[in-house]
Amino acid sequence: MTRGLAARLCRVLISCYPRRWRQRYGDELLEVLDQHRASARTLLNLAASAVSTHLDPAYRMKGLAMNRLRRTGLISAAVVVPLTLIAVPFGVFVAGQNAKDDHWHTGTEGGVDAMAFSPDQRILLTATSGASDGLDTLWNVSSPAEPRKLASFEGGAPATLSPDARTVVTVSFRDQATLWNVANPRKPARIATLQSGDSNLLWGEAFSPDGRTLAVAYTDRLYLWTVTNPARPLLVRTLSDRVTPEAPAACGQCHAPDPFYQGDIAFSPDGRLLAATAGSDQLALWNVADAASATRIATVPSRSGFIDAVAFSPLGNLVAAISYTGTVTMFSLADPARPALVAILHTLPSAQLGADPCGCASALYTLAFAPDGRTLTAVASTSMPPHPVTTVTAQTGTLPIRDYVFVWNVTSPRSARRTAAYSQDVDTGYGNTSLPLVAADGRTLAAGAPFGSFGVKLWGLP
Amino acid sequence: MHSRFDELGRFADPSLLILTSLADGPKHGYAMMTDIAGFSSVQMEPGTLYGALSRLEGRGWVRPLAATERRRPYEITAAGQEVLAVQLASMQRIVRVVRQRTAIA
Repeated sequence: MTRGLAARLCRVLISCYPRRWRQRYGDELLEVLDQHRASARTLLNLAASAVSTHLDPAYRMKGLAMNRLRRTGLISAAVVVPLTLIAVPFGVFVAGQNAKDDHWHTGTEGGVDAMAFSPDQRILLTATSGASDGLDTLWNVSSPAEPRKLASFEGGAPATLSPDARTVVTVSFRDQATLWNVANPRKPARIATLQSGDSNLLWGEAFSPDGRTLAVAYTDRLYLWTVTNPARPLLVRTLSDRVTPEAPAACGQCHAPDPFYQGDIAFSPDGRLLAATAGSDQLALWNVADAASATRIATVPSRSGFIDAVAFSPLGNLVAAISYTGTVTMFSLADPARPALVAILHTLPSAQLGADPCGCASALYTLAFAPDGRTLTAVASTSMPPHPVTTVTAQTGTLPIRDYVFVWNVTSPRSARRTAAYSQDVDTGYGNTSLPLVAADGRTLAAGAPFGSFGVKLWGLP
Repeated sequence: MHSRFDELGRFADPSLLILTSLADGPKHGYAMMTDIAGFSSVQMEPGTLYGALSRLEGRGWVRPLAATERRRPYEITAAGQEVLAVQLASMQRIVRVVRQRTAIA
């Protein structure tokens, strides 16, 4: 049903309420209906409510009342019966569409720009594109081989799930963070928009581990919101002394990554520290033990260019960052105000990541520690074919997407050693790289791009 | 355990949610709907909301405030707070019995 038709039917139904009731509440009800997305359920509910108001002793009329009630009944029936006749086959059609949609694709041509697992790994959130054309989808992945689509809604990326998996944060048209109630993941409902008033690009969002604080990152500011009651988010701190991320210096003909889209932000496992990419190659650490008085306590260089992804060890003793050149730097947090460099770990040589000779790899990276903190996994996802170019398919222009996975044993951080390195091809149709995601169990990798019959795939890591 | 609240019939449940929503301050219609969805996951339809709201106002348990354009906020009255407290006590009694009988923590 179109919104226009639903709005017109709502007005017809409001005219069926008793006149006195209508004069008192009609305008307010119309205002609410303007903001509410009217569905067939809304119309049936209004019709029932109009009839029940006529039966309410406070509004029951004398004399002409029965005529009026009869007329209301007739108008309600005239609206509801055709509506039911339309809605029932439509509902069947929608159910049929949903069944088809259970295929593992998210419905847009772009790559997946953000993904998040619920802590129990039964729900996966995927987000495509930005604020104006984005789509967020919730999947039931309790059987990874048979993912089921639960619901899609008009969000966008960045997006993430709260630790209790009851709230999703996405982004609104005006680049403000938007909260959705997904307690029932089949029926996401928009609950609030976090009006920071910032008109710059919103590039990152992270919930604290206790779910009480939400960090929202813009071009040159971080905002800390208390979301204890998601319906009434409260801005508690604006951190404005953040270094503006700058694009890395262009090197030859290669395209430098867009730092605003590929930055990262993460809370430490105890929720007392917040790490965010900053500047052209820096990692900033903020003390957020008390969000209202959060301050920056350290800024460390990655030593290898703009940082794509950040991860804290679940033990809280290490923070690791991977730069766009595929180099991991790991810092000890024994004294969080003075993070000490403990290891520099290399992934594949940049040429094998599809980089040009000056080292600008065209890859998306993700980084994750295993839950026991003993291993660190880095994934590089690249759409560039290995040199020389041989694999471009003439008809479709399809490029192979290859995920390179590296695992290090970091039990002794200073002598971390690589224990595994392998690659897998990801069939993504049109060659859109997607940000891969390692689940909290450290053993599941979600990767891929959604188009055609294929989308995100879940891989078991060894 | 019949109370005045039960006279609301099928509007009793929505009314309880509305009174709870207004307990921490006045709200207009749409704000109540989003607040209620937030704390209870109940997606209340506008017809139900205003059906219950007009009955609550009729009983003097909520009071309309001055409207700005078409938005009119409502606040809970002292009588409304009293009714809410009575309902809360009644629910607590039920929870206690459920716990005793099912050993749910």
